[in-house]
Amino acid sequence: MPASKSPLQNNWTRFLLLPASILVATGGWSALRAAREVLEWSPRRLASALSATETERLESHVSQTIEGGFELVLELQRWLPDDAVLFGFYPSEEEILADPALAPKRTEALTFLGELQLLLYPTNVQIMPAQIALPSGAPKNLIFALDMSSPKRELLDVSLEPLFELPSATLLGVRGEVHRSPKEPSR
Amino acid sequence: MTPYTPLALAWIVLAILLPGHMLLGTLGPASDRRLAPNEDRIAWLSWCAATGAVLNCLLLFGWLWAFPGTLSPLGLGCVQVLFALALWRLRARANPTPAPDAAAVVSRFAMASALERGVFWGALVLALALVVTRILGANMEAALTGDGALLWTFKARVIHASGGLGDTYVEAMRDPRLRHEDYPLFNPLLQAWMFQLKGASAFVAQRFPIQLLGLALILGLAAALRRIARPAIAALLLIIFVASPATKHAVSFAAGDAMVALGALLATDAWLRWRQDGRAALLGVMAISIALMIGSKAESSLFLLGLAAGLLLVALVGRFRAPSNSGPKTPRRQLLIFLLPLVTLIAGAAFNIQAGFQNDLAAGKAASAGFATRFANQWQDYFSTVWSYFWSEAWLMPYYDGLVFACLTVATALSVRTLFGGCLEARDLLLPISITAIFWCGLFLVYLATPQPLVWHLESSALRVLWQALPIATIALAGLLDNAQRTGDRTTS
Repeated sequence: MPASKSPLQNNWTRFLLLPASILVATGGWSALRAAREVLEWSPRRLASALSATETERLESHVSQTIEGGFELVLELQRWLPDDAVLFGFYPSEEEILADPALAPKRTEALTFLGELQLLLYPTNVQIMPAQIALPSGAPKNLIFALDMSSPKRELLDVSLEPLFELPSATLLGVRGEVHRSPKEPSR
Repeated sequence: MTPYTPLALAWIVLAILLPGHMLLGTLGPASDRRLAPNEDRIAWLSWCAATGAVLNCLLLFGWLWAFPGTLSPLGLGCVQVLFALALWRLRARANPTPAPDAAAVVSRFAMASALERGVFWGALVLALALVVTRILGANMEAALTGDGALLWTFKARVIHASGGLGDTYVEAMRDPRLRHEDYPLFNPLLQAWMFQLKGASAFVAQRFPIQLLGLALILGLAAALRRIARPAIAALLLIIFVASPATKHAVSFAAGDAMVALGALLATDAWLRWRQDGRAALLGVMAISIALMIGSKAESSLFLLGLAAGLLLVALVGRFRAPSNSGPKTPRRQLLIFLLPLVTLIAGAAFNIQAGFQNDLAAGKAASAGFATRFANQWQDYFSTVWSYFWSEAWLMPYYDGLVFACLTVATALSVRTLFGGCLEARDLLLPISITAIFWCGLFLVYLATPQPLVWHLESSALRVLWQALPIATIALAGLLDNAQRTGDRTTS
């Protein structure tokens, strides 16, 4: 006998009105959300979304991550050789415990350093202090450090002591200013 | 320069859709009616995108692996044109028979009232408008954060910088900054193709092919829903799916989730169509979709498991409950098309073996234990956290999925008799239900054995990955609701 004739089954299927009603409610709510989201797009916003250049989009993105980030990216792209190693430092857990105001800086720095890894590829950007060891075979005259938290100069000097024994190691500040640069690297 | 240069955009769309269109017209035996766009134009666009993506990815994979360092935009363009011409010749020789009347194929839709059909078209227009505006919004930002950028775009940059998939690429992928070196390559290959076309300074344009597949997912779901349920139900579920924040993330950026979801959805929908229609060409669509799924993301293994279990269940139910009507038969020779997903699987595995790439989930991160050992050691500690997360954040979260997963569970429980003893169309719903269920269970086990910090892993990926099964769950739910409504109509008449 076909199942559709079964009174028991027909009784049960009536209960499907429950999920159906829930879906009507969530569907209506979803439609309202969708319509509102589409209507937020004015012709001006649409024109801007279509006409902005790749560079403008990049600038807007990186500048939202960190103030002055885009200028630093351009600077690094201009003079960091492909085979350089750039160490990026951010506030450690210990530093944040000592000064909780550093917490947003840590998030900002980590995001920016992650973005730098992609932006500067194939230049090797190492996010510190996760990997303190020098990559094997790294050319020692092409090692740079990017200080993303200004109060760390002393720590930097200690943790990178072997590195700073090298004659050309360079320490950069977050805005790209050179704290310590024995000589301009050559490409 | 704006990323939306019309010529480049037109070329990308053409290079993906045209080979797909050509190949789809050649599928199936000469004695069958060929597939044709006017059968279901919405589905056709989606199938073309999926098929074209698979063809382009296999071409890129073969070229970049066999001849690294030789790819140029002009050379690739020439090969793509020659490839399309060859498919065009093949299509012409395939002697296409007249396509059926569109209304006959999507009869349920055609029989609905004009108002109800209008509701469906309105929902589809709203869904597409929402996806397009979300893509435009996402493209205001460069691809620098999230999985889409740090995993997929980064890998595409490495392929582009290494000139292919040769030794330079393998060496570069040993860098600890680059993760999941063993992941399937379709997504980064499509992005690397864009880097070839637009140059390495592109930060937005490389997303276009992946976003095109996101749009194909919406079209594919709309087509599947309107075939399986009346237009009002289809419209409702389509809007719920599109409005989900997980859908927004998946189809706006360039991660692999929309690609694997598209492959899984089209494979399931093609099988359901084949069961009603009987043409072997639809199994061809299924095979191509499975290849897309396998080449897109590792979660395809869970979908394949669900697919196998679902097919077994449907076969068993057909054998014991309705032996006189257990679905169409297809000549075995037509099943050779399934060599395509098999080749995709084997080629990916061979590449990983040659390169020495390992899966961190199966083999463990660095020196940690493998999957089975971790599962045995962790499951008791992790169970309650994973259960609680799945329950409250995925199953009972209207904002996430409009409660589709929860409603599907309830509807399945209420429809057990129909599923196991009803008509062929109702019994076939066991397949999407099985896929959804096994995907959820499989993912649950994966989190119990995760090598990552559990809470971080759940929060960073669980909803995004569970979403991959949402389109299949949506068509299963649509089928159950429509079936119940028709059963009710028959009883009252």
